[in-house]
Amino acid sequence: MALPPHILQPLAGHVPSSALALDSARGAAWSHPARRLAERRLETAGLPTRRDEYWRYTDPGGFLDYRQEDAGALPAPPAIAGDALNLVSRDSVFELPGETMAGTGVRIAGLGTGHRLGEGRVQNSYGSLEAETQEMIPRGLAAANSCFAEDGLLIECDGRLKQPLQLLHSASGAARSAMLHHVIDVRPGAELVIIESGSPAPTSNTVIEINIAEGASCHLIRIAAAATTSVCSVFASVAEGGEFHQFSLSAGTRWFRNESVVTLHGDNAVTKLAGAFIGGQQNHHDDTVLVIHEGRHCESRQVFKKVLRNAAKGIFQGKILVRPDAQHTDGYQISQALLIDDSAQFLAKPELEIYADDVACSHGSTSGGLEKLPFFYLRSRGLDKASAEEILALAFLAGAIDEVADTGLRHSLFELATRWYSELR
Amino acid sequence: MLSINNLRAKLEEDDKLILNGVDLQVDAGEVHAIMGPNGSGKSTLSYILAGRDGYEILNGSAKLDGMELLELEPEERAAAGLFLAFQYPVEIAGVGNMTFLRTALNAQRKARGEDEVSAAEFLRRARDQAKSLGIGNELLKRPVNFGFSGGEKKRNEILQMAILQPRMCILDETDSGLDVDAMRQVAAAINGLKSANRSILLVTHYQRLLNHITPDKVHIMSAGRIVETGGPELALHVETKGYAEFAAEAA
Ligand SMILES: Nc1ncnc2c1ncn2[C@@H]1O[C@H](COP(=O)(O)OP(=O)(O)O)[C@@H](O)[C@H]1O
Ligand SMILES: [Mg+2]
Repeated sequence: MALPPHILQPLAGHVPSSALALDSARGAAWSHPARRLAERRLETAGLPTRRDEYWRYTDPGGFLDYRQEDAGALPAPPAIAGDALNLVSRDSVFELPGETMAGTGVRIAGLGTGHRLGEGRVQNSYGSLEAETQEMIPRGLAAANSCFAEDGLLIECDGRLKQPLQLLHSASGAARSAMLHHVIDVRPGAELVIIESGSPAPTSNTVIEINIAEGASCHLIRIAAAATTSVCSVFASVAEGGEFHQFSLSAGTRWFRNESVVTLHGDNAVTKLAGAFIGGQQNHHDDTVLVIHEGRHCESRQVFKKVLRNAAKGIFQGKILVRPDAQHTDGYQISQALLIDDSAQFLAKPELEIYADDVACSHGSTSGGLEKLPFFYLRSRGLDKASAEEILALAFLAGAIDEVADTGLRHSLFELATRWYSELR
Repeated sequence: MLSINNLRAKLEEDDKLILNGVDLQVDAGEVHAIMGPNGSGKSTLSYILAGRDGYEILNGSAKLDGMELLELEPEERAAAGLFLAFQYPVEIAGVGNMTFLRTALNAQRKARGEDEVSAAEFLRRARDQAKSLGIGNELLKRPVNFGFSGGEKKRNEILQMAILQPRMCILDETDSGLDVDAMRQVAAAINGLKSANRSILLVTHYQRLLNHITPDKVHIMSAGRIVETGGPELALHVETKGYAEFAAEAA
């Protein structure tokens, strides 16, 4: 059964034509059944249009219809963890260290290979978290990714990895677009810190599915600073006593839709989602978050901050959904923008949907320019306008960067933000 | 050092005249005090000298060693040696007190064509000064004025002044919010800064601080003007008699 033309045509710039035409040309044989299911979901959901409520502030055409001129190489991805297990991808193809990284408790395989990882549990869950919430909110771009993704990583973590796993993308410009799909399985009690730095191509569609078992934790940090066009959808499921933390730092990205869907399935689960964005030059940056509370005594926290200038547009859509059984939920959400000039814009849509009666949820959103008095105070001590602005803007972003639990990574991220801020102004 | 001539100013968004012809001359090495009732324009004068926006200068001039301050950006005034200790020091979340102060010091030095002070040298100076002002290390590490008590904020202003070593120090109500011990420490720090090529202008409502720091001249400000100038005895006089006899007609 082929997809109809109104779905196939917009995807032409994003997927190799062989894979569009032929379902046997879509990745490894083991993935074909999952990809066929994803194709059905894509057909049902369709690709997003600007008429969709879920895309009210961001025109998906900014991604689907965008054709990069001569792309050129993207800047080298910054490594924020000095002591890390590095995995390098060149033009979205990973160089793999072999399945077992001895003694680390981590097994990795490439999505593109026919290699089975361990007992095949990770393969078996390919596409399933992406599927889980499709009925509630159709996500055509994520379904398309599950259907057509070319490469990505399958990761199974069984132990407590001391070092972060650091994925470094370099892109020569040879490939204009990329579709990556990672599936990460963090087994009971295991701990994984994973950093993804840089973009696999000037245009990219990434899906990351993360299963976090009982008492396990996963910290995902994503950083990007280049004039890229990307959509990233993270789907995480957290079992009892598990934790999922996500932080993203981006600067100067041309068009970015950053979606996170986290389901707290078990009791006493925790999720903390945060992001800092530095935008200028008509950048469009959209953080769209959905946290679903199913377990009892769970905590969720969202902290998103953007500094915007030069007609940059920032979006935040964040929803906390509390299911009837999710008693004693503690939900918090804040989104803030610092508008450096009048041409910048911030639109926020915070939502609470609560069906349990014993919950504490709060949300807030603010946007505004630099506070005059602190600005004057700094200048009265000798800082010029640019330095005073930079100090205040970085202090503002620090409110989000501070959500990162690891002190060393937090410092690296702050330094990176400082560098990017002065490069972009 | 500082020479203010017939300075008249109002708020930008309001027609009410706040400074109505201020004349003031502070020579190098001198300590002056400006006293006056609440609302007489003392803080407005301080802010205008430091370069805060929101005011419209109608006429007059304010010169630091012959250089017109009113035409300079606030940071240029700071680099030229002007310092204002704020009546209400500003809290800045997320900016470390020490990082801020070192950045400020080096920004001023750079603007004057001087070498930067190293992090180690800066820290040594800051710790020494902080100690004599009774400021604990913990306070140095916190964000600027963040969660400081009223008295701690005032001490922190004086710490900044001691590190930045300005030539013209304006202190707006530095004594308010200080207990007896703090007052002594702060006064000692200010006295320690007195020198032949530095001038100090103490803006105060009460005479208290002047028990510790003897001014060369005392000015009374009322309704936006200096209405009386005298020696230290003038401060004692208003302490007992109040400001009523100096009430200038409103503009
Ligand atoms: N930002 C402002 N908005 C409104 N009124 C102001 C403002 N700043 C000063 N004023 C007014 O100007 C006058 C002088 O104030 P100020 O300079 O603070 O006096 P002082 O420091 O002597 O108490 C007062 O009447 C005060 O209300
Ligand atoms: Mg005052």
